[in-house]
Amino acid sequence: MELTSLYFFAFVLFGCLVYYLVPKKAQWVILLIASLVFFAASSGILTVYMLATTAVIYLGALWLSNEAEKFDAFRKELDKAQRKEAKQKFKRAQKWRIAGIVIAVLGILVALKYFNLGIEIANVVSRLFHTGIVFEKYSLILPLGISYYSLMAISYVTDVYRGLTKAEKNPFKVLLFVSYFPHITEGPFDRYKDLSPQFYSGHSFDYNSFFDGIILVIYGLFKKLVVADRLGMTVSEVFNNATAHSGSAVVIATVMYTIQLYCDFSGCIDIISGVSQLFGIKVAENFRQPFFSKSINEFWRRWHITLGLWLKEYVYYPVILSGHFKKVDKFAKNHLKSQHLINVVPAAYALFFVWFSNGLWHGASYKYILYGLYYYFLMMLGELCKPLFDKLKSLLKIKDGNKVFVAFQILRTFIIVNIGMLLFRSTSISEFAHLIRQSLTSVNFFSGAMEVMAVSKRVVSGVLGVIVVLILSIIKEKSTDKPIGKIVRGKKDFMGYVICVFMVISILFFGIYGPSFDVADFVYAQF
Amino acid sequence: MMKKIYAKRIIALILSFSVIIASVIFSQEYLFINDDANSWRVRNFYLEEKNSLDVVILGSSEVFAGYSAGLAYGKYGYTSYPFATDSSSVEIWKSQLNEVLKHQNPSVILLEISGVLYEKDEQIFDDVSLRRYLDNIPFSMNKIQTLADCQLQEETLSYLFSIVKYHDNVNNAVHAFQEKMYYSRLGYARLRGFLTRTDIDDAPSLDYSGEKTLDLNENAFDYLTDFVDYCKSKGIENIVFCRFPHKYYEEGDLDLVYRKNTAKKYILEAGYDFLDLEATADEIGLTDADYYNCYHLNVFGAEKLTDYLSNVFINKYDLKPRELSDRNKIEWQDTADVTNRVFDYVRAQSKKRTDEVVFESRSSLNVI
Repeated sequence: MELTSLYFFAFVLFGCLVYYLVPKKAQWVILLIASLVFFAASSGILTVYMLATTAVIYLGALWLSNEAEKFDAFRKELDKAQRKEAKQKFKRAQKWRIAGIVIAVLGILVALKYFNLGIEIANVVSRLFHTGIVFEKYSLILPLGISYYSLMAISYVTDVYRGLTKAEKNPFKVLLFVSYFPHITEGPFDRYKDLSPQFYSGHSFDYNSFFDGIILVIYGLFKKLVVADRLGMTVSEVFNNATAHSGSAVVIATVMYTIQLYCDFSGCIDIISGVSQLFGIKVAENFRQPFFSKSINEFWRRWHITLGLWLKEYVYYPVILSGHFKKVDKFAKNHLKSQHLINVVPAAYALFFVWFSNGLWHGASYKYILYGLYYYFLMMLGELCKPLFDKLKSLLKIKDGNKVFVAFQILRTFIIVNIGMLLFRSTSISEFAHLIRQSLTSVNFFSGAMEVMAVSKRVVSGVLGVIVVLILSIIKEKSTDKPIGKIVRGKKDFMGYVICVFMVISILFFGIYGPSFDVADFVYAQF
Repeated sequence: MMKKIYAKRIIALILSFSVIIASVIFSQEYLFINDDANSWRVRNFYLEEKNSLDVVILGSSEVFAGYSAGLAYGKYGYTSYPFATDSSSVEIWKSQLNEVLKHQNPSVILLEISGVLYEKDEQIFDDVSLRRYLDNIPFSMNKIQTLADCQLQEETLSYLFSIVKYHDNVNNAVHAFQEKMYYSRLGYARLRGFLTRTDIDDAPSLDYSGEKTLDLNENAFDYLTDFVDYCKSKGIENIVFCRFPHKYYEEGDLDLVYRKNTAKKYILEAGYDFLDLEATADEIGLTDADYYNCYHLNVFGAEKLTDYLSNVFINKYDLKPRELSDRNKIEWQDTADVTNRVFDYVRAQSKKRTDEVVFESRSSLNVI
């Protein structure tokens, strides 16, 4: 069931109707049924993997919680010295338990998603050692949203381990969190402690909130169908025949791809957020006008926000709390003279795991790993050179809030991001290298733009759509992230209706849907 | 206070939905429409005054190339219309018949059977051919029934709401709108759906006389039998089946003739008339030079065939032209005059073999 299909919206509206008719205590059951129906309709028999993951974290969380309770009861009987030793033993045991649970959950994900990458590596090693053995790859079908629900499952059980959340005794409530249908396809990565109060508190129908949800959904559809898919058709035509185009056309197509990817992913998140809001549930924010970022660090705090937060919570913090990190930190303190380096080197060690994981999460391919490490390398370079840049700024008397400097920072960040997106778009690392070389062959962007326009005149309405998105993004940025619904409605609801009607008509007239097109799948759904 | 808020919301919602629906309807009717000769031929059928047509001819491109309603009216005084589209299939015959009978009560319905002679299922269930007809008939129960009867290749919604299929025709929207306004203002199609090419293909045809038969495609035969049963159940007696004249250059092409013979046999046994115009090509006076390609008569052939069919309608089927309204008479006279001018033009161009397509459109008739 596509998020842009009429069947999906009919499903959502029917779900809303039933949701608000049943007693509040039973509303979460309706959500659970709807989620399971949605999942089964999309994945069929593969639903069993999601159920297996849910069973592992449900039982695992209860196990951790029971052991913690047992230990709490046990330690009261001990004296002070014994307590310290017992606590260390207990912590070690809990670590092994959580590690086992996480490995079990990741194991399902790795086996399905990264199996062929493992085979590829095994074949490389086999060739290196001239064994003559060739391992076969398999074509595996992944269940819907496995990359998303697996990580959310890990976040739940880890939060229980850390004592941030109580283990849920009702398995169906855990199942609802894992399978919740709006966020299962493309996130965001919600945390159990944020969603569960909303699931079970019960909601009355609130017109304004419902209307805001509708506005979000329409805006998401506009971004996806009018902007992303229109740009995508031209981008595909240029990249599928890149050698026939000039370097500047490739550059423009890259920029278009970046905008396409943003509108595709954020459009989907808007639809998800809007749909969730129809049920009175707010999911985590995942995008905050990322192209206004002044640095890569800031970009990744505005783009796919919840993935960054997840990696920080569940990769970065465990790494910096690990014994290995402490050794690196000690080594840096003992052997490095510069205080700056003493701070940067251990951080670089921990962040390597974060960015490697970021790349690997996106796909089972060297290209994606390189994508993650590209940002890692640039960030570390930035951090290492920070004292130099600060000196340069001071010499040139540039103040941080200076508008020209801010514009430079935004443009610089945008260029860096586009290079990363070119890697993301390329089918392989060698193709990426070739396209980079080609991009440098011509700088006549006007003729490049004409060339791209000539590929498909359909792109014109997409470009106009980009202007609409840009205007709303600027307003949202200036209003310190007021929700889109409130921005569109303004002081009078009347504007909300007008803008909705305008967007709906734009979608009907300019959207990429129907049998004349191959409607593009959401890009991030493939992860 | 709350009541006022609820009332405002209800009004706002109703207005919003109304604007959206009105936009969709307007765009479907005037902007996002197929803008080609086939589409206008189907749409313009509905501009004909109710029950004003003496003859309606159903079928494929042979019909609108090989027969001229304007010539027929000019010489014989009866009205007719080729309710036909390119490569149309037997799967839409029932639907076409229903559309004709909803709006007209012709004395004769002539059905050219090329749609039942296809060999392959892909030709019978070709979506492009289906849409040439289906996308241009008005929304009705018959249209819904047609969707149920035909094998659809795309999502059903795209057949019910043409905006789903054609909203990307933005580049052509202005031209489509202009054509639509042109026909709406005029109130009729001046050439009544006639289309031809300015060419002469005078290659000789193989001899295809004889009664050899070949089985029809299974699905085609099912549709044919269903159609004949339907006509009988509705008591439709004024339907006459026919096969327009063709030429055949290769032995393999003669399968069409053999399948025609099968269909002809079935139709005659069912009690309906069959005009085998291939067999009477000599009688019609057709020569090899009367075609612009092996499947279609050129203007020279169309004139001869129109004469022949007109005489068959009048003499064999006792066709008596009906009384037309004053306005309708003026319109049909204009059709006859324009047709004569077009035929003069096309004859001259055909001799030069310029091979241009000539049909009615706002711009093309101005040139002629």
